[in-house]
Amino acid sequence: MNFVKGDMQEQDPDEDAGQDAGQDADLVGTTIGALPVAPLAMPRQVLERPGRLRARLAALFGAGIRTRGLGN
Amino acid sequence: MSPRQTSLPRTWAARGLALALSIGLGASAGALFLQYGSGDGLQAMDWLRSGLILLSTFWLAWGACQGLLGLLAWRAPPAPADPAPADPALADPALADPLAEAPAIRGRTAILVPVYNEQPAPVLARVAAMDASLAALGLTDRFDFAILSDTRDEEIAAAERRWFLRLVTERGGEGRMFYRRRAVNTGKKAGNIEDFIERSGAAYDFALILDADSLMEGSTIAEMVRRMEADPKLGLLQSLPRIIEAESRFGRAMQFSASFYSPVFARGLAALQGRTGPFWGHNALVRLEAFAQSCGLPVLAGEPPFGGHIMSHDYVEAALLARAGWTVRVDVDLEGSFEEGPENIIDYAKRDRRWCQGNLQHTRLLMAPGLKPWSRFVFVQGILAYIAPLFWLGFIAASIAAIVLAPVPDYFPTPYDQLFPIFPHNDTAKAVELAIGIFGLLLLPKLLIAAHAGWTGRARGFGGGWTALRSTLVELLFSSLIAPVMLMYQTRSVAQVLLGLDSGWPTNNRGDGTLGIAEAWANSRWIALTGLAGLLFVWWLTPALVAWLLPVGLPMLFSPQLIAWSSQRGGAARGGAPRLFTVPSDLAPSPVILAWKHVLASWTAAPEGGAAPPAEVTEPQTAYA
Repeated sequence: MNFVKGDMQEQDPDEDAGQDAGQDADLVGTTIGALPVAPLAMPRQVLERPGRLRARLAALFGAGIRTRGLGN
Repeated sequence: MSPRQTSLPRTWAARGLALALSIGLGASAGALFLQYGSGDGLQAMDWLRSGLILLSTFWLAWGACQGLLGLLAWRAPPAPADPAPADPALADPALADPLAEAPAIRGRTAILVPVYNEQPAPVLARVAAMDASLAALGLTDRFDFAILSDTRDEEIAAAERRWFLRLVTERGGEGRMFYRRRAVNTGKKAGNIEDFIERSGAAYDFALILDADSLMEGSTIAEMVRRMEADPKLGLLQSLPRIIEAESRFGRAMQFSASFYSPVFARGLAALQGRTGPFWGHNALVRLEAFAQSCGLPVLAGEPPFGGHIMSHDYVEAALLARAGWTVRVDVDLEGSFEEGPENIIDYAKRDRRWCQGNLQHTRLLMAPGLKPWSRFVFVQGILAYIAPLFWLGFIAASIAAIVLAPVPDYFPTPYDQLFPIFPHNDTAKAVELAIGIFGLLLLPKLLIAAHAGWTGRARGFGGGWTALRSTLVELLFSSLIAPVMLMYQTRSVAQVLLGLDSGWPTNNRGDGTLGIAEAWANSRWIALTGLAGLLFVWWLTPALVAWLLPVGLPMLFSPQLIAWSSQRGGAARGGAPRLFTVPSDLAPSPVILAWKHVLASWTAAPEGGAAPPAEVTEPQTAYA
């Protein structure tokens, strides 16, 4: 592929294989033009508490069983 | 009432009024049906049907309340579209007064264009038109474009790269236009946006999130950034995109509906939502700091359709922004925001299948910690949008079952104390009252919007008062005709989701969506056969009931014809009269639409690889500066 402008270049993941970028380049895929490198973290949000009620009940019963096991 | 001026007490008052009215009307309808059903004694089926009527009426009334609130909150738009203005630029409110003082834009904005197996030329021609529109305002240094490709088809991906290079060459976009194609499309569109933010988000203050078919005026984009800069608590600003470029009968009816009714309903919605507004996934500006801080979506435990990546991510992102204390707002007064819509019922149903799965997945998030009550209610609304039609289906089924299960009339309940038989009292009048009330809720908001448009002069943009009224009446008839077909598709979608079937992520079919009868039959024969079986069954059971079921049964029976016919282009208007379903963009297309068409025509006329000289793309002057 030909590029007519200065720093416009294509990075193909196949060409990057074995280089430092390694796995990251696979995820980036193909780029044309130098996207700014300016990471902004996106922390995962908590949207559900899986099995909250079940977990609490299990903990409650579990505590009871453990307590009984101790002879109290 | 502008959404920007919505105060919290006013919002709660609007919510309380709308909820009270909807619950009151739903309860009244349920009670009226019970009175009707008590003629021969109340059976279990009467209670069931009364409950279903209550829920359905509540849902209808809730929609009607939004329309009425929208009419009450209506303010005249800045400049109603004037048929065929001498200068197309005058159609753009922000350009109509070039001397108007506008605050300078300080922040940097990334305009994100996610693509997924789309035709590259129309998509990138839109980018060229938007860039030209920004250039006309001297603002290109504040905006970068990023084409975020998740395309899986290698040929399309290669074409994307070729067309992108042409775009960069023609627009001088080096250093401010970027193309990135992910090797793995994890998280689909939400993951695509997230990937950009995690790599480049800190370089920008805002991101304008678009769809592949989005098109926006530069002045609208600039105004959105100004509003965002003026309100540091504003996390997301949603515009109301108008559907453009529809050609088929179905597409034009949708386009008219989106242009004529939606702004009114959206105003009602804005009045109800206050600071917990909507995100519809595109044509919206986000504050990147807020978005990154609040909207990192987790992968839900379990397998799709209820687990895995969140499909209808936009609603969730709006809820998360509100949870973090940011304002989410829809500004209905923003003009110059466009998208395209499906051209036939099959494409609409395909998209609806995806949305159905996404909305039903929200059942997992109803109890998410810390969400605003209104955000939870929005999830419930989204779920009800797909469940509510099933109430009607359930009502029809229960009404048929009620005939089978009806007790034998007892004319002598006290045989030793009566000489004459006691006949069940006839409450048909109550059933008629109920039917009128329900049809009123369905039709009244749209008819009021038509009357309001005639009264305020807004109808001029829709071909004048008579054409707007004609379009409204035909749209009402058309939407009533296709309602049973849509009901069947929605029922199937809900059933598939409940059975655990994943819709996947089909590519949107854009462009000419004309369907032949064979294709329509292949996609809807199950509806036609269900309709036929239903009518035959009811005829065998109680012939008198068939007439009542024809409004539902006939559209189902003829669904292939209806689908094929509505996918065709409608005829031209006679004698120079405005065309049915005329919308403002027919009469005075926004400059960015003209520019897009011009770019696309010049691109597709010349060989793909050869860059056209810039001199060839200078018309229209006002748009493609």
